Amino acid sequence: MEASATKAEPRRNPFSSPMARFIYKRVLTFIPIMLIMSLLIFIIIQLPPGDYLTTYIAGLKAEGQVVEEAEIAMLKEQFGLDQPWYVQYFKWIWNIITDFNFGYSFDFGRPVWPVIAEVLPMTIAVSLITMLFGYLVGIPLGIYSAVRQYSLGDYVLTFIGFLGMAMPNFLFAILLMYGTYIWTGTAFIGLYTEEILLAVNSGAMQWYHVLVHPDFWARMTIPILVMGTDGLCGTLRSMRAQMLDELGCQYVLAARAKGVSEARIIYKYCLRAALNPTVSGLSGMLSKIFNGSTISAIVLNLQIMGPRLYDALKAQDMYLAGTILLVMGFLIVLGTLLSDIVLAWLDPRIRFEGRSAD
Amino acid sequence: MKRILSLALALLMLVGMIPMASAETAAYTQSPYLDGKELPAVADRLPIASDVMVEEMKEIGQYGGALTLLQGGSSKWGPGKPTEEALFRFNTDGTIEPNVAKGYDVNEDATVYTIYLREGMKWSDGVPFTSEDCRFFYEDLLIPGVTTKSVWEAMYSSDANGEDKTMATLEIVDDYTFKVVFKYPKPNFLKELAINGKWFFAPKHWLQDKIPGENYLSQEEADKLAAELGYSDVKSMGNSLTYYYWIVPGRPTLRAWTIQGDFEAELCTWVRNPYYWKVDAEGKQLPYIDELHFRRYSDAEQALLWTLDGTADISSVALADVETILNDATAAVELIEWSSVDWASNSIQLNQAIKDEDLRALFQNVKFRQALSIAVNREQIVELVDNGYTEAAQSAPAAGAQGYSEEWTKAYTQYDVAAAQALLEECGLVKGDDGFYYFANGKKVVLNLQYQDETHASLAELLKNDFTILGLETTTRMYDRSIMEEMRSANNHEVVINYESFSTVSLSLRPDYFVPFRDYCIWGTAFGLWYKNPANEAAVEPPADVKAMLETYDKMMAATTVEKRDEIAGELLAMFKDGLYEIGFSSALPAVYAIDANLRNFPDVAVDCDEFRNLGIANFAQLWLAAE
Repeated sequence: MEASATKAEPRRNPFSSPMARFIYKRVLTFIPIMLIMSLLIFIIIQLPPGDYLTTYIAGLKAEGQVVEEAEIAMLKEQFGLDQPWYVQYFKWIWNIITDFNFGYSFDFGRPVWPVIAEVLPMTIAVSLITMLFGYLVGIPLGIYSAVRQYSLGDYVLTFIGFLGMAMPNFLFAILLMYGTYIWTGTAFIGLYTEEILLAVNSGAMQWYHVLVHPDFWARMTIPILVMGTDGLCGTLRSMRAQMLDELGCQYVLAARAKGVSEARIIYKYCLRAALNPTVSGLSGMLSKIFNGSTISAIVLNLQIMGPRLYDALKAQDMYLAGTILLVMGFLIVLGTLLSDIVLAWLDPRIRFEGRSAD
Repeated sequence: MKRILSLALALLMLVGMIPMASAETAAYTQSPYLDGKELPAVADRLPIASDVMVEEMKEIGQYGGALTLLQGGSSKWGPGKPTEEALFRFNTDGTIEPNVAKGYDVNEDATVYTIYLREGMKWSDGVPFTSEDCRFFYEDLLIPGVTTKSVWEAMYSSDANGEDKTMATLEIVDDYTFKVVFKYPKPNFLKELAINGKWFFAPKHWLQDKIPGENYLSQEEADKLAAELGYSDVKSMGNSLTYYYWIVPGRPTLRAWTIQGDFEAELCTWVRNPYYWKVDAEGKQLPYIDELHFRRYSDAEQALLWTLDGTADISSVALADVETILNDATAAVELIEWSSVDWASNSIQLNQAIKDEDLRALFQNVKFRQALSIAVNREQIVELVDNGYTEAAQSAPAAGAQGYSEEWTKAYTQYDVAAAQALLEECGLVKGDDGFYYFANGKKVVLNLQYQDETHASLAELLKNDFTILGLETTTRMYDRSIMEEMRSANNHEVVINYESFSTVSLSLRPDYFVPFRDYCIWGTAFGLWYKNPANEAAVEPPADVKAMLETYDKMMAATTVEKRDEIAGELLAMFKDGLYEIGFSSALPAVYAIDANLRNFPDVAVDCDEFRNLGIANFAQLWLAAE
């Protein structure tokens, strides 16, 4: 390892220069990736038979409205659905590139961005809170489970871990909502009480006020339990497995022989190595934060991005769905880059292997 | 005819006089909610004393409180129907009465309707409401297509042959009187207007600088405004401001409440209109309820929980949940049943214009439809699909409706597989060695049952089982609603379960689901294309019985009197009785609403249908919440 470090000596900045080039190259590849992705997204959204108009007309008819053929033709023209899909695609992409205009949501009758932006703060809040819960509780429990392998605590945590991974979230969510109705007389549906919603409507409260409201946190317990435990149990199981691998390594034996304290071995050496898979998992995290969960959110009536995407896909509200998917795709690409950088920083082996191949 | 109508009008005015007189002497009062809001005095906000509308109701109410209703999905009609104010509105018994209009007059041959408005009535922003607002809506919004809706059928009349369809014209008499003039007699105009016209006015003062048109904005100005207001184009803006106007905050309306803030919000608040033009018999300005709250849900379980925990004051209840609510002792709700105008709760329609020639001939044969009808074990459907809440029945008008007969509801409902098989053989089908029926040409008969909602899956399986026993190979498949719609417009649908089934308050007023006069009713979409234009490539020429039905429909639409029209509607009904165009299995289900136990004046008896605006027939302005 040291030898390869000296070989790179002639370069003026031995570490940051390849890293910078690496980042630069990766960012350049974003452009073709995003273009290909946008095309694929557009094609996939168009794949099912029909378009937004059929959904729209079906909705009108379901309400007993009579829709004339002339009106259908007019709507088709109005929505631009009378043109071939590639024309629609190029118009969309062209407006994004030249104007940063992502088009209109048919369903909301508004530009796409405000429709996304209005649910964004709460989506990020819910995702971060549930995710943090998963990591902050999952990692220590995983370490505990590994260090005290086959203890009673380990068995209990293993049981909970498997249960949490196996139980469908939506079922857990319905049970908890019904439970709140039975125990408190008020079903905890959604994140806000009527009082909060009225205050928000009247402008007396902003979303950041909501975040510090006790009633919000009382209601937040259900999403935390439902969505947080899902992440928690996964983290717990993978942390445990990784820690056990590391604890069996010879360097641990060597460190113990040298008299290094157990805490130092676990937290300074083993944990750092065991975190690798968890950090790799960060690549999808940005996108998850942006989207939040979907099925659980629908069951819990959380008005966040996931259900909005789901509705948009169902209704073939293609510019809204397309934009959400495009942003998610971008965040995955970006997240992969970031997680690679963090991994390189966290694990010198990755850093130097990359170098020697260079 | 004229004598009857003028007598009716005189009586109407006489009845109107009694509360009017008392209201004139009584001082008007307002809700404490409006106190201190720097508004003109309540008497100045209402129409003049002789023209104010005095709402009759079971009991006089108290002011205050908010009603919470539930809203799933993005249907704008959710809050639209309960708050709608039509020129003329339906009563629970199906008659109509003036609402926004004060009254009307009609000439002898039903070609000229004179409509009187209420003097001193105001929009929710306090600007007077006049006949110009009606003219503006019809001539400057509806006809030029600013609303993006076609001109309502109610505004057309045609000659006795059903030809020369001509649009009505308006004549403004004065600020509070206008005439609707038809070229040919239009006996059902007011009812039709109440059904598909609903409102017939728009606030000119507010819209005149927001719409495109000769006397209004140029195309560039309109484009600019649309972009400013966040609409994709001028048409969407027009549709939003003039058609789905009730969800546009700040748009003046005549409704009892106006929307505040975003319609898509989790809780959408509507607050009382200080200029609402109705009072109770004591002179209290309506509505009693200060605010409406629409709570948004994304899953049916949430609606049920909100019904149980008392969040919702009025909510629609699925039949499967009735027992859950009844068994919950803590739920402070009352269940109310409104009758339905559906012809059946479970039914199928065969696409008689289906593309496959063999199946088309078979589906058009009434004997085949009779065979299917008697091959179904209806008792099973009643028990397993409807939880025993219905009765085995044929698709037929409900008791009390025109055309109802006990005989019809029982026609072809006797479960008899052997007789059904005999009918199949009469249709020329041949039983093969495998026990299934084949066409004479050796092709196997395959019934593809199609449905849209997963709740119909069990019905589909029961039918498949019955038809297989009968000897017909059957498949079932669920489709997304939009795909179903696509199939219908491409004429790819075959045997359709519970989709846009027969339902109408009156065949003469709304025959859309029944008669294929356009590509709309499931059992013959392509016949509708033929009716409009026989040269259309996708059109299918209907068989003799359907042609006769279409001719009768033409005669009905051209009828010059209500009596004549109802008589012809009777002929049409007889055709439906003989024709089994829809095969029904169980009687219609009532609509069940759970209402807050403290809610008063909610009608116990009503018909739940779109024509009567569903919940809107409850006249929300008169609802009130008693103190607990």
